[in-house]
Amino acid sequence: MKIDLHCHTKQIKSGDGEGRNVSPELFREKIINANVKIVAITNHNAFDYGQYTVLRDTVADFCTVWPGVEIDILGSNNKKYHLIVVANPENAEAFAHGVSALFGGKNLETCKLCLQEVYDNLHGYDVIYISHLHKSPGISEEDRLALQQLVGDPSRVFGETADHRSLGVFANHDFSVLIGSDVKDWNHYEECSFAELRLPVESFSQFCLLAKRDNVVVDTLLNKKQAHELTASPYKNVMFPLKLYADVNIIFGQKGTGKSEILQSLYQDMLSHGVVCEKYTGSERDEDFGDLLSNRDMDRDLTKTGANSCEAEFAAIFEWCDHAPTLFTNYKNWYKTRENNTNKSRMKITETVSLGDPNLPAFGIHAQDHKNVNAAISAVERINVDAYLAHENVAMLRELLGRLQKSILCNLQTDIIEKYAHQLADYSIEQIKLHADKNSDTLSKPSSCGFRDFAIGRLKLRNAVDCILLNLVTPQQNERVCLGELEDKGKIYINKRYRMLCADSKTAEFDCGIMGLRYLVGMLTTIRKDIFSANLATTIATFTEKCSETNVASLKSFLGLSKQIVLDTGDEYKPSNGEKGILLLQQKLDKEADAYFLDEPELGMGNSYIDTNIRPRITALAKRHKVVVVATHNANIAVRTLPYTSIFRVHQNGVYTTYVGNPFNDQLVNIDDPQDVRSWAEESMHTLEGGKEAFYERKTIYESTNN
Amino acid sequence: MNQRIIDVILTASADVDVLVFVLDDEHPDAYTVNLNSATSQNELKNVFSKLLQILLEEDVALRLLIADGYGKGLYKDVCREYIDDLNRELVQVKEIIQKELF
Repeated sequence: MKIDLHCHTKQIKSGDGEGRNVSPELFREKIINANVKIVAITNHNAFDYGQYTVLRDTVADFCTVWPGVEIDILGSNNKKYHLIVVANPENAEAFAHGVSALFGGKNLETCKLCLQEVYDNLHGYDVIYISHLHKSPGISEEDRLALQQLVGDPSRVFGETADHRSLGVFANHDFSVLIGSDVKDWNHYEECSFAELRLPVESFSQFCLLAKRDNVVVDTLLNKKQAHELTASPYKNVMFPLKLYADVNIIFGQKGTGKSEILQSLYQDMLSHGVVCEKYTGSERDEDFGDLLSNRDMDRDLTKTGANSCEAEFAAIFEWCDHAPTLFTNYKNWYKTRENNTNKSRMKITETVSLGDPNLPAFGIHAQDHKNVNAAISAVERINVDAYLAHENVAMLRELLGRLQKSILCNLQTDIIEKYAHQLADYSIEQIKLHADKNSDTLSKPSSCGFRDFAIGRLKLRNAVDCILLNLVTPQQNERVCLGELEDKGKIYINKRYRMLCADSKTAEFDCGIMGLRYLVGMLTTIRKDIFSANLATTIATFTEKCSETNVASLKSFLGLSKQIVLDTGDEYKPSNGEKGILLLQQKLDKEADAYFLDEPELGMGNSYIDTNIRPRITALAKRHKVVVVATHNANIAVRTLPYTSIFRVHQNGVYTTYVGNPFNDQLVNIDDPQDVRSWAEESMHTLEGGKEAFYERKTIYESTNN
Repeated sequence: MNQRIIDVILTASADVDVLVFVLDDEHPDAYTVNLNSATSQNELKNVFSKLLQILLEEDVALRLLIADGYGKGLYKDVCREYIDDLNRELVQVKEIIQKELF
């Protein structure tokens, strides 16, 4: 929830600039564009109640406007600083009088007030104070302490920094920080930086209670989010209830306290509730990455390469048998016996030869076209053509399709008649010869010397082998799916490669043994080479047997499937262990789910990557009301995501304890003993940062190096 | 396309009737069919294999020649009929090849 507690709407002092003037229309437009939900009007040394009411009403459906003022304070050592005072909007009119009285008769351009005077005049209107902290003109440390002492309630005192911070977690216990737009030109308002309230508040009072870490308010605000009541189980027979929010939920603690087991049990429980979940385990990234590269999910689909399965060709080879020439003896016997019977010798039909298959080239085409046109007509009949075409066009379409069907059928019938006429004629001649021979003690002339059938058999076999060999060399096809992105390497893809068996093929690409497949290809080449050899039948028999052993009946078995990791350039890339984790995690977080369970996602990754990539993605999922549960040792993830729930596991003196809390009320409460309460900030600092001393020493070293 | 004429010689060799298909000029006796033996079928298969290879390249016709002094009338008549039938089937197969059916 974006808030802007330092916003100008009028040019009061000369240094303000005209850009600070804003019309109600522009104000509304920019507030909506920036998606700010709470804005405090804090003009220099003045509060215009009339303008405040107009602007307040202009955005009332979208945003709440609080009254305020930015005052020049003369601090200790005569050093000037700016102090913003924001009041409860319920007291806006009274606040306006207070401000008016405070600045009555003063030169707004040059006046500098003292802190006590400001406090005396304005504290009665239920206000908060925001001083410039590390931002010019900034408050000195001495004046800041004086302010805190004067106000008394530290939850009412904030610092405004020049850099972006988020309200809700405090950098330390001494002060709270936020940022406001300090808008100079309303035309660019939405480009300003805004504070973001982690828990959305509905009123000024609620805001103050949140700042005070009031438990009731914190719980109320937390419970506005959807929550899941689940059961966690760190060990067998140990179970306890946990509430997870549709936001960030962190599990942290020392090693060996059952964090992964708790995460796993919550994941299982969530699944059992029918929630769509994704899970990533940092320690299993190698295994998971290996699964990603498995070809088990790839279809052995020849259409990917455009190759024909050649099932018919394989069947033709398996069924092939050589046609033997007609015995010469049959010719001799016919010639010897032809004079045995005078009547028979007059039956010249017994000396005819076979007409043979007419080998109509178009027969196959007509038959296929007949099938296709019938399928097309059926498909058209299933369409409501009247919805797409005018009535006369519907009739024309049906008429034309009918004509096409009739014409194809006519051609096919002609083919069939000729084909079967030849077959029946041959059959009849054979039968006549048979009966004539039987009844005449003669033998008829052989219908064929056998060359035609021999030749056609060999030629059909050659065609089948050529077809298979041709389809074996279809080019490989690749399908790329984006896996993620790596710094300095750009987009990373999983490349699915579909490649027919070749010299570079690997065993894992095939279901059948690669050696067996290579042997079969070798045999096909041999068959092709010896296609006219008299001993071809032996080679064919061996080939058929080997195919039967290896269950090969088409080219499907020869299609190799594999996956590789490739860069944008197409070059293969072998990611490091850390990069595997990055890519896997990206993939998991990209998948659409309702809950995400991440177990040590930081493993193998640099802190810079975690903070610039992982943490923002976790936060983004939380904003989409996803349940994100992370078991982590990383401070950036555990702290800077501002989790709705933190689950802290402790192992002490042989006893495991679970604390549940959040950063908003800075508490971690023992689930078995509500009186046992620890500080969220302290435990986080100790467990995730190595302790306060280590944390601040690092800070000191970094700062001294920068100096 | 020019037609290649292949001589097929009917002769006797050591009292065995043979049909010699002159399919290989360098080895004219390589394709000999023993008309008196059961081996003739395999020998004919070899001839058919070679004929088919040649037919794929060029047009072929067989010409029966009777060797000088060869006198068996039955074999002459039978071989004439056989070669006529074989020539007919050569033409049929050539037509099929030319129609690019194969």
